[in-house]
Amino acid sequence: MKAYLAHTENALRLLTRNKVALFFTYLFPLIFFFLFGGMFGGAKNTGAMLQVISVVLTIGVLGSGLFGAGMTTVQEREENILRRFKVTPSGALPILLATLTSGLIAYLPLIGIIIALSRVWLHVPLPPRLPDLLVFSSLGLLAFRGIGLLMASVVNSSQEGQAVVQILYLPMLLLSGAMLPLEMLPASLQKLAAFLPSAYLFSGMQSMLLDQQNLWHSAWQALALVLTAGAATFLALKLFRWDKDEAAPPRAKWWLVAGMAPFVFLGLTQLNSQARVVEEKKQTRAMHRNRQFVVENVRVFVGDGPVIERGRVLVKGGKIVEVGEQGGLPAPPDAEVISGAGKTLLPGLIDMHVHLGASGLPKYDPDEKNPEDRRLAAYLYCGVTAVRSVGDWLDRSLALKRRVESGEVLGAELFAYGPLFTAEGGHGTEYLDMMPANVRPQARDQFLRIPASPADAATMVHQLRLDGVDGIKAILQGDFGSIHFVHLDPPIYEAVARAAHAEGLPLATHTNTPQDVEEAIAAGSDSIEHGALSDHLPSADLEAMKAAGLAYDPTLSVVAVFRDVAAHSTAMLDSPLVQQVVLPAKMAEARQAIAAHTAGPGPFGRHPEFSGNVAANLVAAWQAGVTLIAGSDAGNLYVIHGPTVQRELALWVEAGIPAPVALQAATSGAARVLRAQDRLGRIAPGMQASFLLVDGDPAADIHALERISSVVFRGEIVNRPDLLKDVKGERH
Amino acid sequence: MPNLAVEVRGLQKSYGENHAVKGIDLAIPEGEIFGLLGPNGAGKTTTIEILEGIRARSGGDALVLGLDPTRQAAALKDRIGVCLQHTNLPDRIRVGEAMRLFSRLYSRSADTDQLLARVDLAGKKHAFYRTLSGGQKQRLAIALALVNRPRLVFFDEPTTGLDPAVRREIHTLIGELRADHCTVLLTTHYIEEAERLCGRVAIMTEGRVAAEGSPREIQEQTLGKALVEARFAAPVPEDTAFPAAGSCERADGGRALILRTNDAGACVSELVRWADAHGTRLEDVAVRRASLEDAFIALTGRRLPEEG
Repeated sequence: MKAYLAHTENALRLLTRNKVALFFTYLFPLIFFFLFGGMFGGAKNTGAMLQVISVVLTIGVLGSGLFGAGMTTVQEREENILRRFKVTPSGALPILLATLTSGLIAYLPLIGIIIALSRVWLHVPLPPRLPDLLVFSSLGLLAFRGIGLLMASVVNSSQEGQAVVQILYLPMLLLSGAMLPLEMLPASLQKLAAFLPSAYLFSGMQSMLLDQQNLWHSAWQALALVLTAGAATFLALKLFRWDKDEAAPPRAKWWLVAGMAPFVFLGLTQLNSQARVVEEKKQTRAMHRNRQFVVENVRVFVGDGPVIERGRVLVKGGKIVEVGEQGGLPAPPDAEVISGAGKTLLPGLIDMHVHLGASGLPKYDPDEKNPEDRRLAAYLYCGVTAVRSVGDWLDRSLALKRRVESGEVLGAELFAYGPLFTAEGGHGTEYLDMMPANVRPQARDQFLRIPASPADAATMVHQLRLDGVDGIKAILQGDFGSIHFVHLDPPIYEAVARAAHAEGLPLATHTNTPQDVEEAIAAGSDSIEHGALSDHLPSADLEAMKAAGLAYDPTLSVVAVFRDVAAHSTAMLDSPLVQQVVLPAKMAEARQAIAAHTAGPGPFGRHPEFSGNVAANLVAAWQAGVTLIAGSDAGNLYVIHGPTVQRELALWVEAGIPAPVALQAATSGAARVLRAQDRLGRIAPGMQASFLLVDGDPAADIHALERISSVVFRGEIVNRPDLLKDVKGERH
Repeated sequence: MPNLAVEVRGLQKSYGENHAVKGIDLAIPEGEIFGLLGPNGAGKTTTIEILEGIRARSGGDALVLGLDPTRQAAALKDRIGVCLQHTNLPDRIRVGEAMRLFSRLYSRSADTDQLLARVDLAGKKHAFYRTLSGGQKQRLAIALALVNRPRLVFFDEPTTGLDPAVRREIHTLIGELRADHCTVLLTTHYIEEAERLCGRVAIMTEGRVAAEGSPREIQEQTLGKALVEARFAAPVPEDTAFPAAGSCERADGGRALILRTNDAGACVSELVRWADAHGTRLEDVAVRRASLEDAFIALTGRRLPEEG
């Protein structure tokens, strides 16, 4: 122990007198810091600056390990300094441990300097996960110094040492993700990167800085670093040579691989290599969402009524921080400026009724990869920043929701209600018949809930809350013409409603007749879907809806399809946005099917008159003061995922609803029913920065919603061309 | 019977088929300055390294300060001092810092300032290592070897490459160690150094000890007490015998003779009588003691490098 302390003190003292070592330890990383820091121009993008910090710290670790520990030890052997210690009783171990320790003591101030400089010069806030970062970086430093020591034990001269260091240093740096994002590398190099400690070091630092994850999140990486530090040092000790004349056999260099064995193991576990690409995606997302920018000279549609004719909106760190008149306080000097001249800024649109599991197109393609991811991307592409799924496979929708939240998937925010509560033989069960027999049991479990009793209903609702759904969907649907549907038993429906309220979950109810509507009002449903398809809603019902404060979602889009298909019209396919998000081949299929009437929208589709009826109900409801929300019932045939709200609101305006009312229903009204009004649906300080910029004024001309200039999601200015590639499956 | 600092019996070291040390015996009492001489490849470096505890032996017994150097190496290293050839310290370490570093590597340590004064480096305590001359570096190396108050110190060629004045300083320092009852085991190329410093010497060649004893004993055992060199005007016939001489070497076609003898006087008389008897003029006669160097050459067949 005394020997270890003596060697450590000695190593530190000599480091301060060694100009070359000081250069590699401090000056070299700092040069990169000033270079990159200057290039990325400061606080406009905190995310990019945090990434620069990770890059610089990684360079520091690599340099300290391979040059500081490795080459220095080789030189000490070459200069006959090491051999003097051969005859001392403490031997090589204290010397090796002292090299590790002194390196760590020298490195930690570098972290402090970099973070302090970032704070002062570039206004980057102190990372909240600083202790985790310090621990993780220290483990990385020990691992790399261990590798350096092992390298020193297996090379025979300074020249050989230089060669080996270059072979290690450059690939480790280039394949770490620090210089180039891993996603940009060809797949073979990505696979190689999975075996290198530097990639894990960099990604761990990134997750702490950009994603603000704690050390536990990178536990495997940290463990691998610890094991490498131990294994490499142990091997360095076993293979240690005091004299330059004692040569290591050429095969000894392969021990370097053994020292990095924990990372070889990590690389072999495929889970981890994929997990890293996912990690990188999340970190890229986090970086994009950290920008600071201001939209100027823009008409702001606040969402719940007010309109600012010439306004200014300031966004920072994913939130709206300021909304005001143009010409008030000047914009912060380091914020990006986006001109909104001639445009309108409105809150992100919300579609309150989608079924992500169905494509909305005639032919089912079993080989389609990640269709639900791509449909969410399509919504975001069209400025629909949130959707409510009211009837989809439970596990898949919850998993997708998580992946959007984490930043792994870029797409509209998903509120998932999970499966449909219905009766045995009720509406919803007919879809099982359309599936292959071997899938049906799983489909039943994932897509439907058929309670046998009120108690059963309560249990099911409770379990769904534990699973994490955002709400409950129930079906009230009886016989329809010649089609027999078993209507959900009233006591069971009431039990579902009671349970939903007890569990704090909003209830959405599909209705078909005024009687269903009355049942839903009585049970306290939070929203009514479709209303009455073939009947006028009596004014008593409308008043009851208004009194109960529940929301009416007419889903005009789906009944309009019935009208259009009956007339062989492809109007719903003609909008530019639809043409952008649907692959040409599929589009051609759809047009053909409509023209030839070969694919009809099910038993309901034979009723083109529903459209007019529901439109009338909608206007009546509006006039009665009922809260309105906009949903499309996308997933049903020819209701195309993506530009749904544009289509729905156009139909509302066609029916006679004023555009501002329609817009409100699709923004602040919808957010309120989602119980997310504290962060969605309005342009106001503190709200999530999810909005769109369109050309013109949608409150005057609803079709302006189709002329999208920009979409911002959680502070990220969405790259729509790239997103469109994702929609079409053209990437990955 | 004084205690033995080093006791070696049948020591062996082999690397596969290569037998570097083929079974040697040594007995070095405490307080002695013992020299190990031999040409390169004789096995003396290997022997020394085995005794210092940094190389394992293949066979035989060895006890250094009562410890087995192979099995108790760490304990042994704590108690001995070693001054190796070809070592350096980092350029920018100060003399005092080096002393302190090494003193902390052992379980007991001397007063480093006193040690520096003893090797006459007190004034250089704050100097960087790279500013020291060759002689100063060697004196520092000796101080470092003494930092743990060792009872036995190994010196590997302590004055190679140093000029004669410096060499004398080092010899003085090593000689002073005897006053501390410190045992010294040194290897050297310089016969004069061995003769001047060492109480006893062993000459190693080809993995074995060829001769052991005080320098004079070895001279006498190997070569006899004197060498008589005679030069004649005419060649001496080959079969001529000189009984007083132990051996006779011929040179210059028989005109020059080198005789080894334990009785120089008798030998010279025989030479004179022969010259008279054969009518050959004895041009020159010289008598000198056989030197250790002569013994060395006789035993090993090799010369040592000349004194620089």
